[in-house]
Amino acid sequence: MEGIPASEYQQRVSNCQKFARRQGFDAVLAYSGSRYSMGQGVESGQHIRYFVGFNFPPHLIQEEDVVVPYMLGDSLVVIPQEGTPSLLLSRQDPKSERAKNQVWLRDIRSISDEFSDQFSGAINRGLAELTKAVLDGKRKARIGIAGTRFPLQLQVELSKVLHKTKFVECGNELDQLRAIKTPNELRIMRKAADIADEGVRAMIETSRPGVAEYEVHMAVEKAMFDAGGDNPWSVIQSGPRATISYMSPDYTQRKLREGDMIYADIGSELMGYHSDIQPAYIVGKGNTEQISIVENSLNMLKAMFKATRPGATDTDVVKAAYSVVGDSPYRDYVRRWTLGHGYGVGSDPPDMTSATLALPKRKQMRLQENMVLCLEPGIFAPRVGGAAVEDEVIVTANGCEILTNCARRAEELLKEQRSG
Amino acid sequence: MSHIALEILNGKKGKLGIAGEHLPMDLHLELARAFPRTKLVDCTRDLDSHRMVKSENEIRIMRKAAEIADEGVAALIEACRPGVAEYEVHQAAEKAMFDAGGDGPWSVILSGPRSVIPYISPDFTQRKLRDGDMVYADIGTELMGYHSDIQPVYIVGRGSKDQVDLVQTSLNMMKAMVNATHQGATDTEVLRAAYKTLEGNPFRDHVRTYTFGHGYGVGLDPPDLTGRTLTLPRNKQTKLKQNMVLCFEPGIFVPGVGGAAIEDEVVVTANGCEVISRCAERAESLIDQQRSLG
Repeated sequence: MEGIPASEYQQRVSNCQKFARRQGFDAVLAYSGSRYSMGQGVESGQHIRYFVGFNFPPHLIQEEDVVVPYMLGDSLVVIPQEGTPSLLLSRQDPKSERAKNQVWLRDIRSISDEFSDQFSGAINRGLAELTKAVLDGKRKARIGIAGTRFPLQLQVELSKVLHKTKFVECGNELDQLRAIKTPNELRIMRKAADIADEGVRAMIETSRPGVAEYEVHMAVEKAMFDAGGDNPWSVIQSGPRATISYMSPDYTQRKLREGDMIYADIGSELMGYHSDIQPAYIVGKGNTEQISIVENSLNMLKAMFKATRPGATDTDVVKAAYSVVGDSPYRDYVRRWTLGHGYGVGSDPPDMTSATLALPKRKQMRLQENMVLCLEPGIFAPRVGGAAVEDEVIVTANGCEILTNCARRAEELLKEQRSG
Repeated sequence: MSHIALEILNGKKGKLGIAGEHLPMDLHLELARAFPRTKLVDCTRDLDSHRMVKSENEIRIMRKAAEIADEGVAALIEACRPGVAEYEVHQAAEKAMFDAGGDGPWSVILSGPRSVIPYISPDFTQRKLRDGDMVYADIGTELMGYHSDIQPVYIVGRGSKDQVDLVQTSLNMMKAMVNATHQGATDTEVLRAAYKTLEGNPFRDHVRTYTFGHGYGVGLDPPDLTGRTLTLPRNKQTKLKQNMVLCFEPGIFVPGVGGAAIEDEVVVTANGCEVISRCAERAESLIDQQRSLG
C-alpha cells in the first residue's frame, strides 16, 4: 500500500509553524518515547511519526533502518518557527542511504555516546544539548513542547541548557492539528478499518461453545495479519469477564459456553495509523436481557451516527446517545466513554480520550469534516453480560460515513437471536 | 484516596513511607495536602528488598511459571522453519503456554535483521523466516501474579560460523554467571564473571548492557529492580541471598550476523544456584547440532 508523500509531511510542518507563529513560539519540540512494551504490541509514534513519517511495513525492516525513531528510544523533532525541522535521536546514527530514504527530513542527529546510557537519564541531557545546538543562533524566548509522557526530566534538562526560555505545553493543540485527515490518511485508515473488520468476522466464526478465549484471540490475530495488518491486537472477554470492561488479562483459557456474551475490542496498526472497533456477540442462544442490552447499545450508536456532522459538538453526540436510554433499566450500566477516543488523531489510540469522557464538559469540541471518530456505546450489566458496539466514522459535509460493520452485525445478531 | 488514607490513619501522622514504582505526582501532592505536618518518605526500593527473598510457596509458583515458559520455548523451536511467519511462531508459543496452564503468556519473536535490534516494536510481524535467520525471542507467562521470563537463542536451518560463535559467546557468559552465583556473592561479581569470558572476543563491543537481568526475583512485576544492575562499576552492590530468584540474560547483537541472547532463571541456594529453565541447555544442543551440520 502506498504511503504518505513527502509533500504532505512538509505541509504538516508548515501548519505547525503557522501555529507556532500564532502562539509566539520560537520553536515547537515534539517528543516521542520509546514504545517498547513487553508483550503488548500497541504502538505509539505520537507526534514524531506525524511529522517524520515512515513508509514501509515493519516486517520489511533491515538493520540499517534503525533510524525509525518511534521504534527505538526517545526522540525529538525540533520545528523552528521558520526554516527546516531537525530530528534528534537517542540511538544510532543513520548512515545508510536506505535509512535516509525512510524519512524526508535531512537534518538527523544522534546524541553523542557519552549520553547514550538509556537507563540513567543521560539521554535527556543528550537531547537537551542537541536541541540547544540545533537552535543555536535562533531566538528561543518561548518554546512549545508536546508529546504524550514528555518526561519531566527532559524538561528539567532543557531548562538547564536554555535557561532564559519559557517552555509551554502544547500537546493538545498539536493533537487538534492532527484531527482533520487528508485523503491519504483516510485511505490508510479505511484499510486499517477493513482489516479490523476481518478480525471481527473471524471472532464470530470461532466463537462456539468449548472454544477458549485465547483461541478466539488467535483466530482474530491471524485473520488481521493475513489481511495485511502491521500490528493487530484483540481483547476477548466472555461470560462473567464480559461484564467488566477493560479487565486484565485480555484473553484467558476460559472456554466459551452457550449463552455467554462476548465483549471484544479489535484493531490493527497500518502504516502508523490505527483501527479500533468493538463487536457485540452472544454464543448460542441469549436471554431476553442480553438481547435487550445489545439493542440498547445499538440504538445509542445509531443515535450517535445521526447526530454526527460538521458543526455538532462532541457533547451533542453523547447527548443523542443518552437520550435513547432515558427509560431503559440499563441506563445506569452505560459506561462513561461513549464517544470514543481519537477524534481521528489516528496514530495513538487513546490520544484525546479525556476530551469526551464525562458530561457536561466545560470545553466542547466542534466536529469538522474529515475527522475520524470512534463511537463506542457500551453497557455492562452484572449477571447479564457486556454489549459494546463500536464503529469508526468519518465526518462528512452532511453527516458521517460509517467505515466498519459492527452496528450492522449487531443488527444481524438481534435478528438471528429473535428468530431462534 | 488521600482522604481515605487520612481517615484510616487518623492521629498517626509523624512520618509515612510511600511505595510504588509509578506513584503519581498528583497523588503525592494530594497526600502532602491531606497530611500537612507529615513527612512522606519514598520507600519503594526498601519494600522491593523485602520481596526479593522468596518463600517456599513463592518458589513453587515461580518454578511452575518457568516450566510453562519452557513449554513456550519448545513450541518455538518446533515452529521455527523457513516460510513460517514470526506471528505464527508467536501463536505456537502462546498456545503451548496457555495449554500448559499459564495465566497471561506473552512472547516476542524477532527474526533475521529484526533479531539484531533488541526490543524493536512490534513484537512479531508477518515476516517469514528464512534459512540462516537468527531468532531473538523473549518468552514468559504470568502465573498467580508471579512471572517467568526467559530467552532462547535459535538459528533457522543452517547458521554461519559467526552465528554459531555468537551463540557460544552468550553461552559462555551465562555459564560463568551461573558459576559465580552463590549466597554472599554480589551482583557485580556475577557480572564481572560474565565479562571476563569476553577477553579477546571480537563480539565484545556488541554485548548489550543489561546482562544481569531484572528483578532479583522480586517476581511480581518483571522489570522491578532493573535500574540497579545495568552498568559496571556501581557504587551500591546487592549481596545475593538464598532463595532470591534471578534472571541472567547475556545477549549479543551484531549487525549482519544476528542476535543471540540466552536468558535463564536461577534460584540462589546455599552453595550456588539452581537453574530452573532450560535455555542454556538448549543453546548447548543448538551448537552441537549446528557443528554437526558443518
